[in-house]
Amino acid sequence: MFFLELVLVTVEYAFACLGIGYFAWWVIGIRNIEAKLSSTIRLTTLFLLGHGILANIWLLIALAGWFSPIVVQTTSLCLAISGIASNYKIILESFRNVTGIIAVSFKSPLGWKLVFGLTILLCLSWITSLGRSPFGDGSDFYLAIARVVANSHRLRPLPGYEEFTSIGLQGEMHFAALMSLGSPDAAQLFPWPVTLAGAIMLLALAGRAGLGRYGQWLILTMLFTSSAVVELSGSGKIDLFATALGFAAYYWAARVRDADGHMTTWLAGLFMGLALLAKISYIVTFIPSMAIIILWGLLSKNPGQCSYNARFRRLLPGAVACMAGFLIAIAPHLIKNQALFENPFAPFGTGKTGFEDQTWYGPATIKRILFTLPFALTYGEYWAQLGNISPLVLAFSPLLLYAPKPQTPRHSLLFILSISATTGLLCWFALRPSVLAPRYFMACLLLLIIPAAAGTEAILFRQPKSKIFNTIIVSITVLTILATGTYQLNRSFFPDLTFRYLIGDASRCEKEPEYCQTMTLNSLAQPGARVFLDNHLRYWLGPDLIQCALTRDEIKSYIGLETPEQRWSFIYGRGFRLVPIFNIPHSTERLVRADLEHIPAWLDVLKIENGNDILLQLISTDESHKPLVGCKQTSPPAWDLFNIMSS
Amino acid sequence: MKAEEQGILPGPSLMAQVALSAWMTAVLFLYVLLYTPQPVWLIAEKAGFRSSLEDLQQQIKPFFQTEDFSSRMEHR
Repeated sequence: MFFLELVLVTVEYAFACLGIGYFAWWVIGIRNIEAKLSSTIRLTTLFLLGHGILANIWLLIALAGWFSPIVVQTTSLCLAISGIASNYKIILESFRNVTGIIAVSFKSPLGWKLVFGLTILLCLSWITSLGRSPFGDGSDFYLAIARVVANSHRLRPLPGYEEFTSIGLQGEMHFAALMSLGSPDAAQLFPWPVTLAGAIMLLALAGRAGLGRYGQWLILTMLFTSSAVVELSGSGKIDLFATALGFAAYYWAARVRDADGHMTTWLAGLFMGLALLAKISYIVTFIPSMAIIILWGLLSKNPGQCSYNARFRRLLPGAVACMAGFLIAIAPHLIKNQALFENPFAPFGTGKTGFEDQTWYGPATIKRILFTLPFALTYGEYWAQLGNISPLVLAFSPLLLYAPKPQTPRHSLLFILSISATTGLLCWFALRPSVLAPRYFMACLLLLIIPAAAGTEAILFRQPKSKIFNTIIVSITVLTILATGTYQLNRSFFPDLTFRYLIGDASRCEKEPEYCQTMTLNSLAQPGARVFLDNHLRYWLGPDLIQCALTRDEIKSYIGLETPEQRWSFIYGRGFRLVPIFNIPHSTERLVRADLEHIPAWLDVLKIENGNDILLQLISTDESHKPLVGCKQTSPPAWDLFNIMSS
Repeated sequence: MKAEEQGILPGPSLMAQVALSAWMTAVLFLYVLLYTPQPVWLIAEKAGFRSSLEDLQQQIKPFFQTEDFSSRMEHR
């Protein structure tokens, strides 16, 4: 039942993305390049285009407060039907293409068959990340805000993360829509089909750079043996949406060179805007790397047919087209930020979210990271790094020396992609040397897979063929897949638990222990109760409790108080009746735990112990201590804080 | 005609093949050492070198990790 619901909702939603993508494609009118596209690339582009645009549509609907299940379901269903009706031919053709490629690939020698089979298995293993509990800021913000939007039917700053809500909300709006369609599980797994679509764009880009079948399979292997990609599966984080949109942006930027007119430049700009919305940190790597590819495309177009002056004259309309696409993509985000924060460019210029000044490590560590960068990106386990690039990239990179040398490097897309990725990464580490987190610049980083795979593929066809050396390459690849797959078992992949969950043998508590951890709290809380909670368990609170929870201003005020008496008065005065103390190293909880020794006489604190967690219920014995803040449904089903004294 | 002129590019020399193989093996070895999958632990256990493997891992791991972050930012 779970399985059926999950599949139906995901498929319906994917077709809805396709439907809106087709509509956008038709409006844009990219007719002159349609004939040059394979059905698979066209289908993937439509899906990713629709995926980006649909999130923007949801954003505006939620901003207007119309994000009710009936609106989401009707819109999704209509779009899904139009998506199937208008694309069924290319869907079937793409299916035939993909099965054909797989069938042909499996006629290769045994070792390669093993590589292809294990890569497919690794890729399919993603579905077993459903058995994983969302974690970190996945459950703290991305899924939590989606849950609030789905339940309150509107978008407002998330209590505790008010300023953070100013980021682009691409992935979050998809999560909200899938939750509104009744399947939080589909929301948890949706990054998977999006990542597959991104992988297809990367393969298509590699194909344009001259890679053949073996090289493209190696790219897929390197992508899915990158822990930075795998460890995000089922995490509730939104980074992979940006990666997929980023690959689409790079692909269309690479097509600028051989397309007539500026529609491809426009499309590249649009995808760039959507990718930046999905992950704002991409701005550092994306602008230089995309600029290199687009400029190269514009300047090297029709090299024999026009003079340098004529080529430079193309730059202005190209830049305008790219900027136009970019602005259209980000316009809904600017509207959202103007409406919610009175600053369309937030979080920039607010100085509150820490985007503009991030320092994660001390000088010694930064120095070590910069001096060992390829190794840090392959083996690093630094704070908040969360995964690495595949070791195959490092292992196979020297093989690039044996890739065919282009007669004029400036006409080689492979060369341009390598320069583009390297420049993007250099910009990142020049501006953000202390932030080693591949997910912050994933699309740019993973471009480096292409040259590594190109070198490896080239060496397979060098003469005389060395069977031993080729066998070593295949063996290293197979062993890396096996090592990654088995290492991720019960870390990112949970086949047993997922299977039991899908057939109804495992409870949600087993899959998400935090759901049970918050069960007592949820059952004790009255509707609209204020809960003094500021941690990653937010997602598992009732949607009314998340909306009425601790705000960022309250957290700052609370931390600034000096005595336990002041802090207890503050908690009670702000209307908090429930104070959970989970066994989590968190500043507010540490303070509350320490203050348990100094409870004022006017306050009765009832302690309910649940394993290592404690839930405090506060009751005032003195009538002079009254709550000043409450939470009520001013515009149902949404909840808002209000001042009790002035109501 | 040279092989390159015929469009057939020469492969790496024997020495280069040995060096490249050693490099690839070293990269994989370090990866398995730092991110040891369960089957490798089991094999090490049976072969009696689990503790040596653990020691080696503990010696190398600190080089690729740190706890001295200056300020814990919201990491998006």
